[in-house]
Order: sequence, then C-alpha cells, then structure tokens
Amino acid sequence: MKTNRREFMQGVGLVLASLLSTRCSPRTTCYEPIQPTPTAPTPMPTCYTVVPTPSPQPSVGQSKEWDSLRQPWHDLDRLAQDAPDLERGEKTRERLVADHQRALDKLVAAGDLDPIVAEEMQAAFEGAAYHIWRANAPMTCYESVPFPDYQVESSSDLARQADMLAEMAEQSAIDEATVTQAQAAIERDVAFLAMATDDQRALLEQVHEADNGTHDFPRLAELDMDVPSESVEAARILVELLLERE
Amino acid sequence: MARPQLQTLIFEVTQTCDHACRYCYNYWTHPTTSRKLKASGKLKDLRPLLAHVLDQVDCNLVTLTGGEPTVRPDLPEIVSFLAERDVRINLITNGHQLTEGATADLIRRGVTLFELPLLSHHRETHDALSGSVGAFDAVLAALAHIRYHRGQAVTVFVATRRNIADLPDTLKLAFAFGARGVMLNRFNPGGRGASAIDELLPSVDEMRAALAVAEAASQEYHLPISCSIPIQPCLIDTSRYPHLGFGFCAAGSDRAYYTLDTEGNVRPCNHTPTVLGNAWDEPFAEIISPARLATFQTALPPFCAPCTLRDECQGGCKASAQVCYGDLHAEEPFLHHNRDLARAGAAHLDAH
Repeated sequence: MKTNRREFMQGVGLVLASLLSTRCSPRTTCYEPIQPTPTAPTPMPTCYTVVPTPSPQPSVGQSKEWDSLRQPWHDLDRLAQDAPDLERGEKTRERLVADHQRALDKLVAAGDLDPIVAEEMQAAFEGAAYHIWRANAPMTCYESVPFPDYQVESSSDLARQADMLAEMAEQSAIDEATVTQAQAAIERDVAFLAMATDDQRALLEQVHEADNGTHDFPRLAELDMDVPSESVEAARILVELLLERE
Repeated sequence: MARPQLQTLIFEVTQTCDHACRYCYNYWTHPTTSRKLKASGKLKDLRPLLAHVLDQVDCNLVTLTGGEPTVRPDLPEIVSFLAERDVRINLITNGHQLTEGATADLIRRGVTLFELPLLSHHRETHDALSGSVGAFDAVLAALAHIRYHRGQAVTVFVATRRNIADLPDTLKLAFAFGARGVMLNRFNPGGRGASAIDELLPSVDEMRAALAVAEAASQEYHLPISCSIPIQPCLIDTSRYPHLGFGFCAAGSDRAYYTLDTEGNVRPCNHTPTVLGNAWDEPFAEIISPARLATFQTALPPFCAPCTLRDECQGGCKASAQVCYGDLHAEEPFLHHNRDLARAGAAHLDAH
C-alpha cells in the first residue's frame, strides 16, 4: 500500500495510541476512559496490533526530556475524557500537541534527536491525538460536527476535492455556476494554505504526485517498506519510548 | 432548583416547509399526531421566548429547525439575537431558500453550522425524496455558497430503500463540496414518513452494506460520519465500523436535545409529540425534571426487556414507535420489521 510520509506517521501514531489503550471493548469506543488501575496493565493487542522490533540504539527514555516527550502520549487518556466536551477537548488536544512539540524541540536542541525525525514524531502524535479526540467527541444530530484540522493534511483533501468535484460535476450534471463557485472556493483555500508556509506548499505538490486514490491508514504490518528512513526511525523511537514505561 | 445545563436546545421556528419530504419525521405531518400550532396573520417575534428560556439555562448551542426555518423572513434577526448572546447556532435547512446573499448574511450574523440534506447524487432521486423539484440543484448551490463564504456545512443522508445504493457517490459529492462531516441516518419513520415504511425502510443487510461504505469513505476522505438515529446492537454490530460515530436515544440524559416550539412547548426531543410543559407557564428546570421525563425515559418495548443492553439501546427510537404505533412502549419500525433477526442477534450478544 502506497502512502505519503505524513499519512504513514499518522498511522504510526494511531497504532501507538492503540498500544497504550488497553481499554477496547465491543460496546464502547476504543478510547473510552475507564478508572485507572493501580498498576500499569500488561500491554495487550487491541484493535491495532504492533509488534515492535527491539533495537539497541539510540537509548531513549533515560532523562527528564524523554519523560516530557512520553507524557503527552500517556495523557491521551485525559484527552479521551475531555473530548466529550467539545471546547475542553479541543483545548486539551491543542495543549498536548504543543507539549509534545516542546519536548521534541528540547531534545533536538540538546542534540539527542535529529530534527527531521522529530518532525515525523510530531506528525505521529498529531495523528494519534486527532484520532482519539475524533473517537470521543460528541457527534450527534444536533451538535457541531468537528471537522478535520485545517492544517497541512487538509491540502491533500483539497486536492482530492478538486478531482472529485470534476468527476461528480460530470456524473451528476451539476449546474455550471455551482461547480464554478465550489471550484473557486477550493482554489482559494488551496492558495491560502500554500501561502501559509513553504512546507504546506511543498506538501500539496507531493500530494498531487503521490495520491493514488486511497487514504486509508495502514496497519503497521501492512506498510510498504518504501518509506522514508526518517519516518521509520521516528516510528521506532516512539515505540521504544512508549514501551519503556510499559 | 439547579440551573439546567443543556448541550443544545432545538428551536422549531416554524411548522411551515417548502418541501414535502417522503421521510419527514415532523410529528405534525402525521395524520393522527398532528398538532398544528396557532397561525396568526402577524409574524410573532420569537426573541422574547428565546430570551426567557436561555435566561433559565446554561446553553451555548441552539439549533434552529422547523419545518423549514428559512421561510421565516425574520430568521436573520433571530440568528443575530442568538449570536449577541454568545450562543453558537446550527441551522437545519433544506437549502432551497439559501441564495448566495442570504447565505453570506447568515454566516456573517453567526450561523456556525449548516445542516443540509444530500440524499443522492442523482437529481431525480433527491428531488423525489424531497418532494420538491429543484431541491437537488438548490442544495448543491447552497453548499457551494457556504463553502465560498467560509461557512461550515454537514450533509445528511437519510438512508432509505430508494437511495441507499447511491451512498458511495453521494459521499463523494458531499466531500467534493467541502462538507465537514456527514450524518448517515437510517430512515426513522415518523410524521409523513410513517406512511412510507414499506416503501422506504431499508433492510438490515442494506444498512450493513451502507455502514461498510461509510466506514471506508470516512477513512478515504477523512470525513467524520456519524449515525445519529439509533441502530440496535441486536440487529447490527456497530463495533465493526470503528470510524463511524453511533449514538442511542439521549432523552433525559445530559446530552438531551430538548425541543422548543414557537408557543413555548418543550418536548424531550424533536421526534416526539410528547409535551413536557410550557416554558411560559413553568420554570424550565421543572419542565425537564426527572419526574416529568420518567414516562418517556423509561419506556421500553417488552421485546427488549430480557436484553442486557436494554438500558443503553432503549429499543431504538421510542418517539418513532410512539408516532407510528401510538405507543411509546411499542417496537419501533426498524426493530419491529426485523424481530427474527433481532432475536437471533440478542442471543448472539448474550453468548458473547
């Protein structure tokens, strides 16, 4: 399965979040909070199974900085608890993402982590946090349905929307003025995102090139190994980091 | 008495509608539960009623619905009034009256989220289910206006036997028009829809197939999809669709969506004709007190009594049972028409 780098890392984050959450049950969502147990539970395969390969290096989790990085992952439980309240959930998610970024920045500054790997790790955490928030946010008939982050990943959605609009315009013989307006809105949003940061512009171009029509999050075991080495490294470090506490 | 905290308040600003949806759940479109509100020649200012209710509760989300709310010429003023009170506003509309100017104005005034039906990618199917020629073109135009003016919209797919096969391409269409989410609601008979059960009620297999489609689409398009109308676990194992949101009847819980009409009548939800009290006559907290809600909240079909999930599932939508069969304790149509499957499913649940 082909996947772009960011999607790969989001998938990794999702796998890791599942690893941390041994709380799946058939009647609730994966991440429904339960009362904490007095001791850390034994990791069990949940919806998403990961079998990490032990690696001798680098040594992680041995300092306060690594603890700070680990903490947001363990606080995903808190996010699951807060998410039913839309406002609080959003705030918690933003805080955790910021905490994770801050911890990474410190490790990079200390020379403990390569900046590119750190970027991948952040993508993984953002993917995990989004998934948990999404799984627990109240979305019923009459509440605001939360929408995906209007961040870099939206650029890929915009590109797909443009393609899809062209396809559906023809298939459903949609009024030309309506299509023109919808297209204009997409183009404007793409332009907006492209202007925001150089990275976003570059990503959009990559998405145009790499999009093969499927955006499924792959399970770790299914991943095509044609993945950037920095992404693999980031995933490995994260797994190691999180398993250490377990 | 403690000040009630409402996640949302549904406000039916009119019973009038410019569509005649085959699946309409509004109780007043049903021949036996119909209770037409007094229609006066002069348009009543609804702001005093809203102020009266909002002064008594903590609620930062009001959903404006109907009928069709956009037929009210004073809708923009109602929106502004709520926005000034720092209340978020959802607008449930068929989109037919949403010209570009009207859409931009409503967004500017504070509508947070538009909720629009998108029933098919086929014009004929959407129009037929809406009971209105031109509905398809109008709703797509409305979605384009909303997107262009930086509003937020979710689309609603009411899954009926007539359109359920169109779900894959309809989800594509929703995604293409920038929908922020999709509500995949199985047809829930009530109102006018109660007379179309045989024609419209999807089978369990059809719903399973639709959920599988939605599950894949949710991942492919990064599109949140939620199923607001309860689906009984004895009929469909919803845990097979982890990317979809599911819910059960929230009446009486802290997620309840109490419904207010223009006369001040308060109901447990917008599907039921049951009136708990009138906001002009009694304190809101009294109207929604547990004692007042007990009859509605505890209603359960005898068929469901042995089920271990009865407290959670509550048999599905009791309001639908009430409107269709005249009894809150009746089996609602989706359950009633699939009793054998439900019995087998319940046995399976027990075994696991």
